[in-house]
Amino acid sequence: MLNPLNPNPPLSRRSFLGTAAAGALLTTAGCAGFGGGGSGSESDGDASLTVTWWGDASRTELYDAALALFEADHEGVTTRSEFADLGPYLERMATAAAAGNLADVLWMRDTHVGRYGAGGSLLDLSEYLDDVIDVSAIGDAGIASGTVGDGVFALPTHYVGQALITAEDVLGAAGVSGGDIATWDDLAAAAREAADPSAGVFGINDPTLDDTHRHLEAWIRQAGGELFTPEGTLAADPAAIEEWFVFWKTLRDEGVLPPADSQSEANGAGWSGDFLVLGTSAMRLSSTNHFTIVSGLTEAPLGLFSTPALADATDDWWFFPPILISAAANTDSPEVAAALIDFFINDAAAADVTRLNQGAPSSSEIRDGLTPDLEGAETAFIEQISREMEQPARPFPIRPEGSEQFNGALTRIGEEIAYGGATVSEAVARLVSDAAGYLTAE
Amino acid sequence: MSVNTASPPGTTVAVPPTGDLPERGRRRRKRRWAAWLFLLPWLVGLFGITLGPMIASLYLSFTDYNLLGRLSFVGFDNYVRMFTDDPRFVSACLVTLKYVLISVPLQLAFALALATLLNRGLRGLAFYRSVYYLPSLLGSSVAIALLWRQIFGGSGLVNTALGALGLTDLPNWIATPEWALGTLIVLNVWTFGSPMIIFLAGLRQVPQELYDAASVDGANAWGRFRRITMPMLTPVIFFNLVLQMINAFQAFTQSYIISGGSGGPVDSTLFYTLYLYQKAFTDFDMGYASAMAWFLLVVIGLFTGAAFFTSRYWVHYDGE
Repeated sequence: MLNPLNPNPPLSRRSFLGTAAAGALLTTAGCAGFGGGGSGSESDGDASLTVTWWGDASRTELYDAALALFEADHEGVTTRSEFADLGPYLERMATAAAAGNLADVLWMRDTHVGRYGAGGSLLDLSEYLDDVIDVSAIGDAGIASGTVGDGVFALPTHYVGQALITAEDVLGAAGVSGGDIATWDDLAAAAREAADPSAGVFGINDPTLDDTHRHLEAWIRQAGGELFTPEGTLAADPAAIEEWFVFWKTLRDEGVLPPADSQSEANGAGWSGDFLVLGTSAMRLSSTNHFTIVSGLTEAPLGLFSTPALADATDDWWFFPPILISAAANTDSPEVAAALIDFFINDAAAADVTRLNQGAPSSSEIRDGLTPDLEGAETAFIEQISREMEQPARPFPIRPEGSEQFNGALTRIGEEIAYGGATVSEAVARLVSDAAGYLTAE
Repeated sequence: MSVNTASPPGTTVAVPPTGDLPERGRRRRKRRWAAWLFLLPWLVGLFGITLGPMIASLYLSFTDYNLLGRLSFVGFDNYVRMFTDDPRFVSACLVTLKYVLISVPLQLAFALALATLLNRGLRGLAFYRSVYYLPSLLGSSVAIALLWRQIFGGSGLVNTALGALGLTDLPNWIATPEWALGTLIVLNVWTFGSPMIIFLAGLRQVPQELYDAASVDGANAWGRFRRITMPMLTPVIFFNLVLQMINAFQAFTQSYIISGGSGGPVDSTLFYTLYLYQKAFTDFDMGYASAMAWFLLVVIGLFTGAAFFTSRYWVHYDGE
């Protein structure tokens, strides 16, 4: 109430409370940090969207350019992008989701879509399929890769595969060619040939000290198993996991792999410290799309080949982890967000800008349209993954809640074995018993 | 029981003319509002950013909360799980304890030694003080942690220098489980600037006449240090000890950057706070992480309490 004796008080209760509220709001906004979605408004067709992805500044340059194309096509729509390295990206995504403050449109990991989809943080895209989002070129498998329960919470923009990258000159000096490596036994033999510990040359990078779950998954699927059950528990046969670690331990003990400490240090140094880039390793297992990155860092001739298979591998073991895109459940502009998702999946002009930066486009039409314009490493990459995608592939189940924990534990037991802290069977037994605690059927 | 509302004896209460009362009251109220307004940022910070989340985390520590929705009350399960079913928790405790028990005394000794040297009336003291303080400002930064990785790497500066001295078979300091924590301890010791500045201020407070009297009595430098400097400095040592101990328990950035967030190799640099962070944001086990945070608070409280309790036996305050 205004004081009748002083009609213009310097600070009324009302203005005080107003200021307080504004201050509190500012603080809250300050806490929000990353994400900041849900701020869009859709009145009169206007919308402002926050879009986030993981990656580096060069990826952001490409995707910002693509967003500018979307804005030009959609009057009244403005976008704002944010990015971070994968690790921090996932951490911030968790806090933003907990605060109901996810970006309107965000790139999603296949390892996390199960958790976020089931947790109610993501927009169910089902009602936008066909009308707003054209899914004709990504197929049923594409839709399945983002389906959690009854809802479609993500769609693939790209796929990546698993591959063997070779330093052809290092292998060649040992009289081996990457093209001759079809099985894991071939790989071990080639690595033994190429390794020359006295000269500081290793046969192959040690994958077990890094994020190695994809490689293990290939191994398990080749043996006819799966890493996880559809219910979300561990499906892999512990004996098969043991065989995987024994395979690498044998090579390490023979001096074919880099010593554990050197490999750990190299992993921490990023791509520029990679032994293959430095010319001191003949091979590495990688995601297929890493081929374009490695090619940009070395003048030496590189080869790209399919992941080796077990001698008696199942023929439908192939799998292609999707790079997914989602919209937040809290977005104020679900229609526009869906349109943006469609844009990143199906727009040829956008694909001309972003090309293969995140992997092979999920849309077969986009992939075919891009191929004639590609050259060098990009061509090798797209040809390789296109060839592999024609192979029979049994379903690749959604990663269950707890799968990230399993991936971390896998790297940890890899370290324990490599540093001699535990035997393979001890470490795997612990991995399996711990996993029973966090990989539980919902 | 009656409440005495009378003025204290000897004071006279001036009664203002009745007409002034509302005006004066208004002014006082205005002043009070202004005070609250100035206090507002701090209050918002205290309740919104500190106390609110603390209370929330205390509640969450009794729940199974996955950060994205599921939240169920589980009583003391998280606290029980820590001690009965989580070997990584135990190893994180041991790593942190080792770090605190080794790095804090080393850092304080180093800081005191340098402060004593700098207190000898050096020319350009301000310059040296600034130079030695610099690592304190930089030490917990990401850039320094990255630099540390280069310096202590397999073919880093340290090994190059040791190699030049003819030493061979040198370990990769940051990537060997036996040595990795050692490099983080060295990094912490290196950030001795802030305790050093406090020691310097403390040294300036020691009365010169005590040294003069001791010299007259024939005390040598070591005797003067042991019998005068050390006892006179004990309040400052105590202050630095408590401060650095609390800091060391909460160490995070160095390990996060140098180990790439894993606490490796083989959990050898898995600080308590890093494990807490992993549980919260990688494993989405926020209830458990909250319980860990409260356990850390209790441990820090106990260590600080123990320091205060023992202080009566070794800390000498002026005039006591």
